[in-house]
Amino acid sequence: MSVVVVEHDLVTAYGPGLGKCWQGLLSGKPAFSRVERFNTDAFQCHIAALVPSLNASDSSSLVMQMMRPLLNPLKGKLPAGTEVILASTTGEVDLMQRHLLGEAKADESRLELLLEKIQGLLQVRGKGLVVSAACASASVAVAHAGMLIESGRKESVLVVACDAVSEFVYSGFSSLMALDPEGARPFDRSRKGLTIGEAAGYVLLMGSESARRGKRNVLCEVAGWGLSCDANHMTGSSRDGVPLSMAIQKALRKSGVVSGSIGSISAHGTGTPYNDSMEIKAFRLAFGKTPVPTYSVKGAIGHTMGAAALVDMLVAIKSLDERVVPPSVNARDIDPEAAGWVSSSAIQASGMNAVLSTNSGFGGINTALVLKS
Amino acid sequence: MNDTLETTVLGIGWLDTGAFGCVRRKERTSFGEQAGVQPPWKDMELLGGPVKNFGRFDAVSRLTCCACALALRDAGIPVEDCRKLDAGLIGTNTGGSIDANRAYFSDYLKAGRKLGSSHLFIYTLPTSPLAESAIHFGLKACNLYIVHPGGGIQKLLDDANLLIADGQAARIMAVKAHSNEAICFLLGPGEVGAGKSLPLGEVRKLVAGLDSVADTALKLEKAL
Repeated sequence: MSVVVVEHDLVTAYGPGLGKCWQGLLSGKPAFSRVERFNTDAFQCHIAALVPSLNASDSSSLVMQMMRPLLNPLKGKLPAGTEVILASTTGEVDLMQRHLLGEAKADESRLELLLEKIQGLLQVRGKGLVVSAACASASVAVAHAGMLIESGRKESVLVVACDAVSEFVYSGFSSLMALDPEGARPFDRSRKGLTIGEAAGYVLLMGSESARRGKRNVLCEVAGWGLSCDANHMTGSSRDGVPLSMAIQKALRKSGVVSGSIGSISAHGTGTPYNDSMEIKAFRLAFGKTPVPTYSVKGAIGHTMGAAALVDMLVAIKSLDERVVPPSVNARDIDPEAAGWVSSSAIQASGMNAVLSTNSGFGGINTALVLKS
Repeated sequence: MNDTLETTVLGIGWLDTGAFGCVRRKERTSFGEQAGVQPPWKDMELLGGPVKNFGRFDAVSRLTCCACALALRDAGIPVEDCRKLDAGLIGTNTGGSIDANRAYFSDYLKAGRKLGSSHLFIYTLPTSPLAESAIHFGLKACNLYIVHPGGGIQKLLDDANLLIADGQAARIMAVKAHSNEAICFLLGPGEVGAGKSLPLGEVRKLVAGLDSVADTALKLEKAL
């Protein structure tokens, strides 16, 4: 049985909807702005990719402000028995900040509580689950959903992913000296780090047979997934790209798609020197000498952490649908290592029927998803 | 997805504030009980040598690492050999990294909201303790944290089995760890029999409804 995507939506710094995100990417203009939510004077960087209209003084958390309008249309409309998986790294960590600052009585930042709130919004019964795997959280969640469907344990799974720009994560990434003051430039020769972003999104996955019975519109197939770990360093990626290439090989093998049929790669592409270099090495190991058009969205909408892999997946689906490989926004002077692979311009890809989306997170966690139209 | 694959439990290691042990070997040692017995975190033979940055680890990471080492000993697999296996890690607990999150942000507030500690920040992910153990034991397959609210250890074993059946790893270390207790189940294909390995189904039934590490270890020791 194959696993298919039947519904999806997201909100990014470009605003609500995949259409806006896609148009933003094609415009080549990053959605970065100065952070006013908290004081950044002490940090190396002052910008982030912020979702318009979020209010840090609101009584609800930043991620719930993204979730409400996003999930409202799904209320009561999910197939019976749908399992809900929440993918996130820090979730409502802004609630913990308020508690420690004496602005809230209790710390209600546990991911399990956020899952409960999401299920309440959706009016679904059942316990659901939380998946967290650093910045690959959402793709691990999609892989887990795929396993649940393929094994017959579930007929439909909703993966919801989110993370917000908080003082907590901003100060943390700043302490790691991981932020580029000029904005992330994935695969650029002069890249210096990432730009933090925020996003929320969901994808409803079903078994192909259940989707057919439910007369659902199939948007794409999640044909394969692969997981691996560098087992090398907590914050630094492997230098040789072998572990990520192992995840790619697993995903390709599972999908039955040969490497030559992959039309484009949505890379994790954070904009840190080591990550981007590692990824290109992994792609060369998996695909050989013939470059595959590769891009990263993080020079446009920032690194959205636990939501990043879901945003990447949805952009990859749009790319498959439009038969266009989006540009790597902000990559102005492509690193020679990535030459021939990465482009700062959009590319028409009329024959593209399968794409790869990869993610890598702290702790050396790697994922690869193969998507087919 | 290979649903016909028979997954077995090759080893179970655990520790809490009072004791530590290996379930299959029926070894249980209380802290301070026997002179000359090293606690797991000081036992270089158990850990397979020094653990890089162990002094920097947060409590959950230390206990996770020790529980993994005890599970390997229970399975009779030297740490050196573990590094050559196709093995991954899955973890669960209640609250994820909430203690580490509070520790990081409290420290940042104390520093006048100007400088965060990178050493504290790296433990603010639920997968950080798993990543430290993956580095030490060379676990290069999957690495993920899953929590089923109210799901307990049984759900953890089910998720680990799903990863094996899916072909993501031949062996999985399934860990439940908090800052005061941890238990690790090493799952994989194995020959079921006296002193060899335990059928997963049997272990699943025994841990149903159990949540605390001490209760789980005791029940398994008595039953197996």
